[in-house]
Amino acid sequence: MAKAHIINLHQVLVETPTATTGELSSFRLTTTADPDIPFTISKVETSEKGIVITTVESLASKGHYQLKNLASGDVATIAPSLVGVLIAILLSAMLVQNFVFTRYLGLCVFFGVSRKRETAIGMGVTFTIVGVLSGFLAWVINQFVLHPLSLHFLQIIVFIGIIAFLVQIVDVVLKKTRAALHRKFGIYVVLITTNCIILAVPLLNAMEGRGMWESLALSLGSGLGFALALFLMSSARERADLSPVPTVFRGLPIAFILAGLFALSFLGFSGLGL
Amino acid sequence: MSEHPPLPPKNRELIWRGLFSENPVFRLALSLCPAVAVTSSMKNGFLMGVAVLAVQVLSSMTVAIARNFIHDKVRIPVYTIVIAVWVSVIDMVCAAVAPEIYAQIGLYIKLIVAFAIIISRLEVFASKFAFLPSTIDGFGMGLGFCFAMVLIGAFREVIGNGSIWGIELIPIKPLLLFILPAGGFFTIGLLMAAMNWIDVKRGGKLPTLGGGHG
Amino acid sequence: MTTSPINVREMAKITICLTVVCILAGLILGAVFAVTEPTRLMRAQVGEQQLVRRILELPANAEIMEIRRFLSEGPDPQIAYTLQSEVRIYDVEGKLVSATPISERATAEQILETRLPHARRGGRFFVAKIKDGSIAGYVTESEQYGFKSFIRFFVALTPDFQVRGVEVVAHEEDPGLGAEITRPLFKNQFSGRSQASLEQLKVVKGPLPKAMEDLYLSRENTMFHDWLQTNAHVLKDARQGPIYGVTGATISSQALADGVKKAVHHLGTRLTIIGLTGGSHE
Repeated sequence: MAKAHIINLHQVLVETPTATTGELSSFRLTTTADPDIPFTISKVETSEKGIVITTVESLASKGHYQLKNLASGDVATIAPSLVGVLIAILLSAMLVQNFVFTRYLGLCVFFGVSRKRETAIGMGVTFTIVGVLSGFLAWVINQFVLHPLSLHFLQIIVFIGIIAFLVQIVDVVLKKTRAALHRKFGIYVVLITTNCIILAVPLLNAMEGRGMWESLALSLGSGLGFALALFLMSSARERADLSPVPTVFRGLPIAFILAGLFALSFLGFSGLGL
Repeated sequence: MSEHPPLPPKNRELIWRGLFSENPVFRLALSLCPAVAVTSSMKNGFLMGVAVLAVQVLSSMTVAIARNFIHDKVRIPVYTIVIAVWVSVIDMVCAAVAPEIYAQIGLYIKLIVAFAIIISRLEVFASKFAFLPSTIDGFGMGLGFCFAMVLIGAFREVIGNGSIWGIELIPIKPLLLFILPAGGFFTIGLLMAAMNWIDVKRGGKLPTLGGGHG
Repeated sequence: MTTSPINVREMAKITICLTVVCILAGLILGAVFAVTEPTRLMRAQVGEQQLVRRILELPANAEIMEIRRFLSEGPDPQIAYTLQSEVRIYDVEGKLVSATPISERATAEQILETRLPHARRGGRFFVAKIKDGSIAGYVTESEQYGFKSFIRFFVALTPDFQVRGVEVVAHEEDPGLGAEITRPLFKNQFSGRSQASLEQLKVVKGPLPKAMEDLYLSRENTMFHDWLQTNAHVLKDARQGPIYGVTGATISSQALADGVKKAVHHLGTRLTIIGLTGGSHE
């Protein structure tokens, strides 16, 4: 059957080349998860673009639906586009569910290297790259080894192994090929093993059974989110160092208060509705 | 291994060090993630603290026993595997024994693997000293972490929710902010400042302004 | 650490050391898994049964049946239900395709494997019967995406499809905000509503009017029918009225309300399909 997509909360547009007239009883719309519960269709009308089906219940723009033409037996599946889903995962991991400010992960490294803007950028970039690599590798091994053999209880040890292995490789390769880069970023590479975000991403992917592209999007989003958090924090801390902060608050205590303020302001992103 | 191992510090000193002078959360600024994430109530904080205590003691014991068999060049990967095994064990036991609690702090239990505090105790202490002092050192550090978690949890629960260990103290919620996600950051900042203040009052000097690493 | 060149013998030693450690680790974990997994599954099941018993206020001799639903893929999916004595497969319209009795030689899993291969799980619900075979109530499990992740909850219903109660069993909402949906003041607002009134359900911004607090708090330690009777006059309006959302957690509140509405609607349709409504036989 022709393509169909959701145009608003209560309407589905079926793109038909020929202007066929539809009747109320000739369509069956359900979600993919519940094909036995049809939506109540209140109106079927033809427009110049195709057939518009109006439902009583509200539809979700990101939902998966099946539309069956009972007369012809054709079935159209309605699903959000992959690109849209990936962008949503990416932005969500970066802003709405920023790993540092809303999930409180990677804090040790976060407070450790956010004192200077320069080191913050270095760590952010290195972490994002290694994070994407390890996220991908962990997905491959989970998908093709651990999952088929139902060795779920080995997840932690295998994932930490992958990360340690990757960190070693990146360190060696960088040292041998790009000595200048290694002098600049080598220290961050070694620190990555102790950043819990890098372990949390594969664990979350495995827990929620994400596909390859989704896993990659989450890895990239979490890395960029971490880099963003580091950058913001380092900018604020550089200023705090110059301000008349009470003596007992100098250093880490004021950094924690700043992080709290950032966390509060990141709550504002929750309205994005991704 | 050197032929004359250094003398281990006294037991009492080891425990004291973990609890106060080198407290992993307030002083070393290590293992911060759960300190912010799972301390919205005293109970959760305590349980997480106990999990870390168990992993730390068990890993320290394992490494202290096996230290002579571990090849020096691969000791870090071996330590990581030791920690990962104990974390997995605690994870599975917790899932089986206390499913309700596991539902809330499950992810953070798994992430104990990445805690720098545990591996640093193995590298600094358990790989050099005998079984008993290593166990006590691990116990002290774990206890220090647990203490910090309980303190943060209690502070947040009392101020944010007007209750302690789930028991209502006052019918209102004095400052909801503290039980909110961001409240964990504020609490740790305030408690760290309070510890500095006590130090200054007692005539000590402020700890160096270093951030934690790892 | 001195950086001496690594010779072959040392390499071999390192490799052996690491391999032994890895194998040991794998064996230990395997053993622990084998020991703890049955306990975990049993605990989960016992905990669920207790929860169902508690929210339906069942007498000790009542019997709980768990009915699992499976769904095949493709343009014309089929739906399987595992009942106590048989596995029934229906098409999407609700027409019976096949009914295979469960026996010692053919467990529900084996029947599913042959009749509906590659079917995925599609939820489950519980039907409680008292000694004389009449239905004491239903509990359905469902999920709805909240603010941070999925909220998993149970809805308990009387035989005539009135909501007894809602229990959130797993969620990742923020403490102090979204997590408040698990509290009596929010979740008990569903109690006593009929399916018809659920269809019209609206969620308005909180907080709950002071006068209604006692009503919902008292639901916690009163039997359902006593609660309905003592509060009959207040409930008459409250049952038709809106649900007051948790302050600062509109998304979580709306999500749970939508989820409950959907879960009850789906359960109603499915019970009719398999013929288990209102005290009928299996």
